[in-house]
Amino acid sequence: MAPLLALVATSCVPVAGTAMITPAIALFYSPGGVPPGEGKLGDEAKARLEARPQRALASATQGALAAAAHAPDDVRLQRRAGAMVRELAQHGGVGELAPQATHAIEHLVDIAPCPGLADAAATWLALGDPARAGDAYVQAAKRCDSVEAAIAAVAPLRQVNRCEDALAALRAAWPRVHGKGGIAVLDGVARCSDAITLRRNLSFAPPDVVEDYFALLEQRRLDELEAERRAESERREREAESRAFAASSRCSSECSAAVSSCTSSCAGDAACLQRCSALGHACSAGC
Amino acid sequence: MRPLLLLLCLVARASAAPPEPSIDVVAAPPIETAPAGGLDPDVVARLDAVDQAIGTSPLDALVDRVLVLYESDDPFSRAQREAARPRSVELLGRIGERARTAGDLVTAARAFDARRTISGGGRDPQLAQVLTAWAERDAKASPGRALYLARRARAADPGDSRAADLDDDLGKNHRVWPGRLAIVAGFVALAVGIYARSRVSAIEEDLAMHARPGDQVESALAERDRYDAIGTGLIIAAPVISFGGVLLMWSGKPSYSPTSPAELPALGGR
Repeated sequence: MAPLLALVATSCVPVAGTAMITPAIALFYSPGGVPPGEGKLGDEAKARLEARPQRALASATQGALAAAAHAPDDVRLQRRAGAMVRELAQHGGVGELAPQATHAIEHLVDIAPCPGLADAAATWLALGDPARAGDAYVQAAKRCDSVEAAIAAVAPLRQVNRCEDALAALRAAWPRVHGKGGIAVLDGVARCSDAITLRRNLSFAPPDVVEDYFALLEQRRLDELEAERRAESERREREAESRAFAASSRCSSECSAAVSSCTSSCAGDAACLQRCSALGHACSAGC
Repeated sequence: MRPLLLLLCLVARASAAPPEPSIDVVAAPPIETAPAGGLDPDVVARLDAVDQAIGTSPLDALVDRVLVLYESDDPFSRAQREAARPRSVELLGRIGERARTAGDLVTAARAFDARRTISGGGRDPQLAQVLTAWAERDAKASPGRALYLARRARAADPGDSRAADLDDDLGKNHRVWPGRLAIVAGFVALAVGIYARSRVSAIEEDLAMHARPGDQVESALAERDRYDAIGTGLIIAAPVISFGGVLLMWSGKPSYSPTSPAELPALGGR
């Protein structure tokens, strides 16, 4: 018993001393409190902050529609209501405000067709009704002498396969065209034509203009081809560079391995080591 | 968290940009985003309705109504915020005071927090007081939220000592010093134990070196046994006490981080 106690007693001090290392470290590196900073958003707060702008926009749009209804002669308020409806439509849909929105658009067209028709067209487009948008743009082109409206009519009418109406609007707008607007009108015609119908559809324009336009289309086609060719060539160059780099890395690593193997077989012979080194240099230079 | 921060930064940058004076419409003249008078009639009507409803309608809904102009990101709302600011700030202040009087700390905090954000984020002792009261109320049930509120209160009014005390109280590890004391006590126990063990050796050597009468030998052996028991006990107890101290320190580390309640911040990304 006595030797056992002696053993325990003598081994206790080093064991206890060793066990005190962790507390000694903890004495100087103790866990602190919460780091400074304003903190993070809770999940519920995040959800609220994400949902609020949409609800606020709906509320603001409702207010704009009500203000437009209360001041039926104020064109700016009518146009603002339309613009707000477009905003709301782009951010998740107008929902239950659709009847009020429709009424506001129709009223705007009644009191001020110019610019009301263009506003109405943009709003119908935002509300996902390309047929009504196209009609409104065609009407705007006619009643407001707007070449821009005739050009804008192409996209929605093309969506609903009514290119003939778009072409009619563009033909009617042609005499009012000035400057670069002409190319935009002809581009509109081109978008509503194919290779066979394009020349016939362009018949409203003077022949020299049509020829110039075909030359422009050809130039655009060539530019496009050139841009594609350049992009392809750049892509190939990048790939070749990447392949060359990979091959060079592989070659260098193989040279290093060969030199290492050569050196290990020299057993300390200086002449042998020198030959290995020279071999390595020659190999790396070849990479 | 990182994408959210990026989103908030982008929203904040977009909000900080000057509002556009008009928006373009294809094939039509642009629309002015703000009327000559500064505010559109529906915006004025909304603020008037809030003004009249303070005292009769739920205050939380009134805060929402005032904030429509600041939360909706359409160009018309953005363009009219500046003109509506004095009235909005005044209304939010009144809603906040009324809610505070009624003991509705959450709505009061929302109203004052929105007011501070809209007015540019300056010092707001009223907001700090409400947030501190809310934090004190929730400190036990939800310390992470209380810490967020205390720190927001401190940001609103750096001179508010109650907010500072609460922030320190909730953010600190209160068991660091008791833990350190336990560790030191462990070291003291180890030192005393080693001393006692050295006394045992000294008595044994003394008895081996000098011949003594029987009663003195008996007394020396008894003293040796006493030192032996004390020394061995303390040497075993020392690491136990110190490790207890370490555990005590780690157990005091707050397991929460400051997290906003659902209602705050009243306005995001601004």
